[in-house]
Amino acid sequence: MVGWPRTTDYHGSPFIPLERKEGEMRVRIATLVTVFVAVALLVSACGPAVTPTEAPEGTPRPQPEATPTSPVPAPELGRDPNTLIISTYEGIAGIDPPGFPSASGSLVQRGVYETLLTATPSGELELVLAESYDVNEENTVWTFHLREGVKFHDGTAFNAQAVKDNYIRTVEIELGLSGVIGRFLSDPENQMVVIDDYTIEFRFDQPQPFFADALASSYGAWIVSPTAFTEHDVEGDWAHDWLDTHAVGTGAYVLEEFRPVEQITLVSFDDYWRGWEGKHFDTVLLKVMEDISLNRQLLEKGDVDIVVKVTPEDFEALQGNPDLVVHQDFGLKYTIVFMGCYGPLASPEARQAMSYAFDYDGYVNGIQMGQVQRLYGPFTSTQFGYDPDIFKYETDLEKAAELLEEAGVEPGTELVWLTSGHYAPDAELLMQAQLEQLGLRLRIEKVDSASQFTTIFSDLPIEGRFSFADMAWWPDYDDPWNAAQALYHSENWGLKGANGSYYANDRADDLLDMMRVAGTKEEIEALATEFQNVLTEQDPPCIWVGEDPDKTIHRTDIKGYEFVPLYTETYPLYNLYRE
Amino acid sequence: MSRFLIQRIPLTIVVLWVLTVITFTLSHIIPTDPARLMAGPKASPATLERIRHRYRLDRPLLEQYATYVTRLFQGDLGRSMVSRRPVAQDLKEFFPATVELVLLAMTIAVVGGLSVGVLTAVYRGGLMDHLGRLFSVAGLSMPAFWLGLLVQLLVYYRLGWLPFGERISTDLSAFNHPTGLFTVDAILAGRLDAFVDVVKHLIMPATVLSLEPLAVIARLTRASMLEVMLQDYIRTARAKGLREQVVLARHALKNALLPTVTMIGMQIGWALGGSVLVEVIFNWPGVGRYAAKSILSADHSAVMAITLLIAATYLVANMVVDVLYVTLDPRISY
Repeated sequence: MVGWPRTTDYHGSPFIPLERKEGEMRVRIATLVTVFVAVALLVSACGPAVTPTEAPEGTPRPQPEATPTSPVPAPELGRDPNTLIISTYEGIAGIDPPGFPSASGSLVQRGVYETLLTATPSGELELVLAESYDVNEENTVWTFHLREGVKFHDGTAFNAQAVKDNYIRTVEIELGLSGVIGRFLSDPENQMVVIDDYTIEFRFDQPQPFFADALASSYGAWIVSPTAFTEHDVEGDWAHDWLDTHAVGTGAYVLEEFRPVEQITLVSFDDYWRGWEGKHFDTVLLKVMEDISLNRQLLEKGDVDIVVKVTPEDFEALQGNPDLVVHQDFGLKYTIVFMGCYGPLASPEARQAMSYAFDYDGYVNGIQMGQVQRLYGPFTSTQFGYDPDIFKYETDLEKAAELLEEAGVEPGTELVWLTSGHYAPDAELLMQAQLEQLGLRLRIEKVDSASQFTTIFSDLPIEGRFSFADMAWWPDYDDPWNAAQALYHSENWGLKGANGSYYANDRADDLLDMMRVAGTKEEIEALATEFQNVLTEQDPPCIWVGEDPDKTIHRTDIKGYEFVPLYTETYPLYNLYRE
Repeated sequence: MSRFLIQRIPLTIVVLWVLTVITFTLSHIIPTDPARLMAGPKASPATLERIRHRYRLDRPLLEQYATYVTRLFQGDLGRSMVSRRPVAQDLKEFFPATVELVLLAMTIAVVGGLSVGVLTAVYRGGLMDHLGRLFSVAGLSMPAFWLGLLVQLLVYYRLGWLPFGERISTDLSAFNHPTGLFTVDAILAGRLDAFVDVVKHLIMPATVLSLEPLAVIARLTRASMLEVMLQDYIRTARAKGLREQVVLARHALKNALLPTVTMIGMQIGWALGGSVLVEVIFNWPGVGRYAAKSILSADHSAVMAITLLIAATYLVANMVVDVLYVTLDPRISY
């Protein structure tokens, strides 16, 4: 017998005949397709409504306008109310204070470590591990009177010797952030003098008006238990490997568990010197969530209490949610586009042209949906020394064309934009459209963020370097010299620092050198004013793109949150509580 | 059989060795500077040199490779720049999470795929067949990351039936994890509440991860069953008066399984690699998510170790598949 068996051939066989009337087959297929399409439509309808809008002129593609949805009803907190859960978007790579932590790493450090001083929301400094300090008339000797009765998490007593030992380590370990304190302490052993158990002097050859600000920095100024770094020293590494994954400070929280790609657990330190009267969290969990689009769901469902970052669309959508508090605070963080000061952009005129060419409105109001504000120079508007009368570039293609001709940049010239999409997403597309109108070509090189970072801050020969590269930046503390030195001094080209543009302007160098040794903040402010003028109107090394706000969102039952401009994307964990 | 296994071992070693050469070369061709990434943009050249010297990044490439292989034999997989811990420690933590996820996903895929495959073959041309094939095509067509987001949005956000991701609720995680497989560890600890919670966390990511292999297995099983059902021995079995279920299970399916088992072995490899996106979406702390982070951070040590681990797992899985052939078909011997 050939062909398929029929059901009647075999008793009980469920086999059905292959031949079917054609009409029946078509009906079945049509029914199935209809059912499938209906299910797909139903499932799609379950998502939030997104209404595409007309794109503003100049933007490379339309940006969907986020429509606030009905908020998910406030859930019962089905978890321990004494645990604070924070969602952070970056893995936490290394928390040794003089190292190079991510912003999320600083979040951990701020919970477990303390400094002698700290910055307030208004930018003033207040005392933490120091009870008071005096400065002599010449501003060259700073005497700190330390708080008594403070212990490190390992039981070591906090005292003047601990401070000295810690800062010797910070300077001599020679890691990425050693220079924050190292700038002031070229000879730490002799410049720091222990007067008694709770008094320490810092001695300088010249006035140091920003020394106190540096001591309040969240980069490099944290005080680590000397017992910890002595006991865990391996082959003279100052316990760096160990302290990258452990923390022994005087802070309110102890690092209980460190799973840097996943979750960090902090628990309250019973012997914390401030005590635990009043409302505080017992436990803080920092969860690493690389997919920031999930943060909105987590917040609305109550599975996290605070998120550090959401997408611009979610930020808009969450504004109307009565269960959440949405903060948008501008501090010291900003985004720039390095311009290579070589090749076609070697001349100041060519870079001025690029500064006129960029579509600022398209970036600020289009891509970033109005959630950033314009940056006009090397300092943000909240930075000490910022000049509000600074020269401001606006988009002007005619002016750009004139300057290009003056600079001798020929039509058809190809420029290269290096990006990972991490810092100024899609800004390169805006520029590509603008340059096309000027007769120039922009080739976009998209790489991962690690490659972008190391390429910018490398000593690649000029032939292989970019014309443009976007980057985010913020200073270690509120000092114009600290904000600018690494990026714009000619001694910091290539591997020597962060001067990714290979910028070299003699006047800018002189001004930075003068700022470094200036005796008063007023002098530095005056120098900073001229410095900003050089870097904007005269010889711009960067396109000044935007000031990036902290966009923290938390549930309404979380109280005690305060934004401090100096401490980007970190929180005063001890002050937070649930009500 | 022993001879077969013994012969496979050197082959496996050769494959892994070639893999180390390829991944080592590729990771060092990429223009990143691990020292700069670790030390930051303000680090001095002296600091960068010191870091390079410490991690032997300033040695010639061949010497670096030789050091790497030597340490590999000692179980030292290097230090991760992402976690700042030994890579071996990271993998010890993340690998069981991925194993647990993949095991459940493949269980769903195999059971589901075989069931759908058999049913669609048996009811060929009927509604069951059409539904099954539609399901298979959908499973093959829908990208895991898209499906994962959709499922998460629906099941977690809108319906609130299951948690968004991760392995276990925070307040239930305090028990020993000797195996790293939380389902097993919860049972060993006598924690039924934790076991149920872990399963709830597993359902969404495992289901999403299972769909493509399920579809593949279903399609292959169907085709294989249809071919086997045409054979004379099936007709003979029926002629002997055996019940249809016995004919299908003992005679048809067993013979139809050979190509399917091969595919299952390959799908395990796919699931291991495909777990990257699923783990990122569901915040699953497994090797896939670790791999994504390591690749984006140019963490060469971690990337090479992960590649070797996945390759080794894949090779072992396929060796097991080859051994299974003997069980399924006594005519096969090595």
